[in-house]
Order: sequence, then C-alpha cells, then structure tokens
Amino acid sequence: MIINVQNNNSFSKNIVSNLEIMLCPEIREKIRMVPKDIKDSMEEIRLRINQPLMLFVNNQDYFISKTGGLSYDTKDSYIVGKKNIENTLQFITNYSIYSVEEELRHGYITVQGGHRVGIVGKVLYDSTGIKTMKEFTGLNIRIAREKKGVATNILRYLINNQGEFMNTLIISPPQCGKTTLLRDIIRNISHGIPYLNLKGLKVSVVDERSEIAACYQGVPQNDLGLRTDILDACPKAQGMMMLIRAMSPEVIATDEIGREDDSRAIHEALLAGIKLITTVHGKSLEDALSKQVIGDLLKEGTFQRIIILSNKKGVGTVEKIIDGISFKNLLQSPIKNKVAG
Amino acid sequence: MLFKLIISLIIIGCSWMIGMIYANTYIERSKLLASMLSTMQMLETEIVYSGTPLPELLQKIAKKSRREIAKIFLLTAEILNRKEGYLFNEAWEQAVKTETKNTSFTKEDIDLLISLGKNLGISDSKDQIKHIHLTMEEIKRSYELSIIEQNKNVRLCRNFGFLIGITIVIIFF
Repeated sequence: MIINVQNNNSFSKNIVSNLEIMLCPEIREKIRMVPKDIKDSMEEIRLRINQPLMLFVNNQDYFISKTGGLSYDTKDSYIVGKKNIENTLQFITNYSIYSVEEELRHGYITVQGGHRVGIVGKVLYDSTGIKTMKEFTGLNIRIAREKKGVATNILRYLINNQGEFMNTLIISPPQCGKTTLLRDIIRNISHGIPYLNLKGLKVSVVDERSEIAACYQGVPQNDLGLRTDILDACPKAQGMMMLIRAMSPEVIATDEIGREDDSRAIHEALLAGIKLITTVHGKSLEDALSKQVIGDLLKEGTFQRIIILSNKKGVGTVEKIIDGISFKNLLQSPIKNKVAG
Repeated sequence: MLFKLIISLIIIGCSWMIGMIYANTYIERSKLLASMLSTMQMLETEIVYSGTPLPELLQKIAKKSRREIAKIFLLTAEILNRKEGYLFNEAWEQAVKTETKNTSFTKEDIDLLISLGKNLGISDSKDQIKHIHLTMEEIKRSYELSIIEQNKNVRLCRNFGFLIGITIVIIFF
C-alpha cells in the first residue's frame, strides 16, 4: 500500500534554503549544486574534520566532489577543514556559541525548522558532569521533515471498538522513522479522527530530547495538533508526573523510554487512566521483551498495540502491528509507508 | 574705524571658535570612551545572564548606547541578519570601518574594536567575559589618558584660539 502525500515543492525548497544559510559559504556553495531530487530526500549532512563532505541519502553515503557533484568514492572529494566546522557552527548558533552552552552539554542543538545538529569535539569535564565542549571535530546536520500522513494507514489499528485510543509502543531501529510516526500519531489523535469516531484527545508530550516537537526558542517547529501540550527538554519520568498533575492529559506521549523511574511514572499514568504512546529502540518484539524495563511492561500487558518498524521497504516500513495481549500480528503484510519527502 | 573694529572682532571670534572646536574633540573623545565602557558592561551582562544571541543582543544594546557605538552595533546586526554568509568578525569589521569614519574614534580604538570582534561569539560565556574584560581594561587605559589629555589641552586650545585671533588683529591692523 502506498500513501501518496502531495509534495509541496515550495516547502521542500524552503527546508533546504533554510538549511543552506546555516552552512559556511564554501559548503553552502557545494550543497547548492547538489541535484534537486537528492536535496529533497537527504537525511544528513556530515562534516568531519579532514574528511570528505558527505551526504546520507536513502541509506546511502555520497561524497561531494570539489566541483559539487556526487560520487560513491572519495577521489576528488571536498575535504572539510577545521575552519569549515567552526564557521558552520557560528551560523548554526546564530553567531553566539555562548548562547547554546546548555545544548552543547547534551551534544546537539535544535535549529530553526526543527533540524538537529549533533556536535562532537573535546569535552571539558568536572565533578558535576560535562561542563562544555570545544575544539569541535564533527557536525551531523540531521534534516527534519515533518511527514504528515505517515500514520494514516495504521491509525485504525490503534483505536478499539469503543472508539478509544489504546496504549501503543513503537519498536524501531534507529533511522527508521520512529519519531516521525510518533509525531504523526500524536497530531492525529490530538485533532481527532472523525472517520474512526475518535474525538480529539488532550495529549501531553514530554519531549526530553526536543525531537518530537522540536522547539526552537520556545516555538514548536512541528505541528502536533491542537490539543497538545509540550514539556520541552524535561526528563521523562519527572515530566510525566508533572503533566499528570498539571495538564489533565488523556494521552501522554514520550520518546524512548527505558529507565527504571520511567516505568514507575508509566504505572502512575495508567492508574490515573491515562493512555500512553511511546517508542523504544529495537529490531523485534523479542528484542524489546529482553530489555529490562520495557520487557516487564510488555509482559504485564501494558501496551495493547505494538508497532514494529524497519527500513526493509524504505524508511518507515511498518513490519508488524502486534496485539499486546495475544502477541498476534494484525497485519497480513508489511505496510510500505512511502511518503514523498 | 568702526569697520576695523567689527572685522577684528570677527577674526577673534572665529579663531576662538576654532580653538573651542579643537578643545571639544578632546572632551568628546573621553565622553565616547566612558560610554564605550558602559556599553561593554551591558554586553557582558547580557551574555552572562541572558545568553541572548549576538544579532538580537547588539540591537538591544544599541538602543541604550551612544549614537556612534549604536551605529556600529546596528550595522553589524543588519549584515548578520541578511544571512549572506559573513562571519561575525567580518560583519563587525565592516561595520566598524564604515561607522567610525568622521567620529572621535582614534586608530587605536578602531583596532581594539576590531580585535574584540574577532573573539565575540565564538566561545563559551566564561571565555567571552575574559575578552570583554580585556577590552574594557584597554578602554579604561585610553580613558585615563584621554582625561589627562583633556585637562591639558582643553584650556590650551581655547586660550590659543583666542590669542591667535588677537595676534592676527594686532599684526594686520
């Protein structure tokens, strides 16, 4: 099954030109020369000190040559220098590294448009933890694309006969679209889904890594629906408790649970009759079952629906949707979730 | 006779004015340096306590600063906001060079500002404080010197202008 979402050209152009202004002039010029179809689907721009400039597109690495062409081998490729990284970082931080000290401590910055820039370098450390980072050696610019519509085909599996949203867990390896799917599910249940008789639910999101809503200077860069409250950059367990008390949510959404205190907060939420949607890293149900916290939650039957993602038929392939009580797969065949990006 | 008297008065008046203008440049310069110091103080406070990014920060401080400094800040912010790919120090240097023409900034002041621009924004706040303090120290030194110069020269210039005027009148009439 293929979902075709109309690709708004001006929007995708916007994404790239928004990104381009964050690169130093030399690299900006190279990226500008990249063919449009690659630009539209690129996922990462990689800058590593004294290494070729690389793009990661559709699970494939490309090197950018000095003339701006793409190639599979490193011959003649454009080599990223220290200056390139430092200067790019200047543009990314709005010329003010001191203003992102907190973010540097976590190793990434969320920029306008919801893109994330991962940063490595020399870390300064003291007894209270990581102090700051300097002498930067690599940047990973991850391009965020809000793919509205990726959840459309699976929503009907997540709502029961009484028209209630069921506790859902998304299991996925990295880079298979788990956050993208989570975001779209949140947006849908927050708006309400008339054809499934689901009225809009109050959703509270604990966005610990600022990835779901991707807040930039306090403004969510992604549409999470009209009944969604976002607690940005808050530790999950504490955040969930805060939201239960303060925002009277009907659904709580978080990303990547796995710690002991997460489980306590989840139980608290379940006691309060709140539904959950969350994600975990893993390849299969067995993988997740073998993990301590999430495995226990699964065995208790906390999650009524378990979605397993892969990139076998492209990013965001829904391999299985499993019933959390009987552990039976509800899908006949995997859903190839192709959304033109 | 009356004609001569009027001309003499005009000559004395003019040269006295010229002396005043010279004297004022000394006063202006120390005033400028004093306000540069307070601007630097604001810069430091904003960086440390609110972490505002530079383009916004410069615009904010410009409102509370002396015109000459405000102009540099505003032009820098404008260049940066155009996002044409200029680094901070490039935009800053361009602004400093354009906006210090016909002002009381000396070459040393301009060099000092340019070297501050090379360090602004590129490190954490601790490091930023160091650079700002260093600049402030330099400005303080210039300020003290300018006060000494001012005390020495202001009266001199005023008197000198007046005396030159009288000399001219005596020689020619």
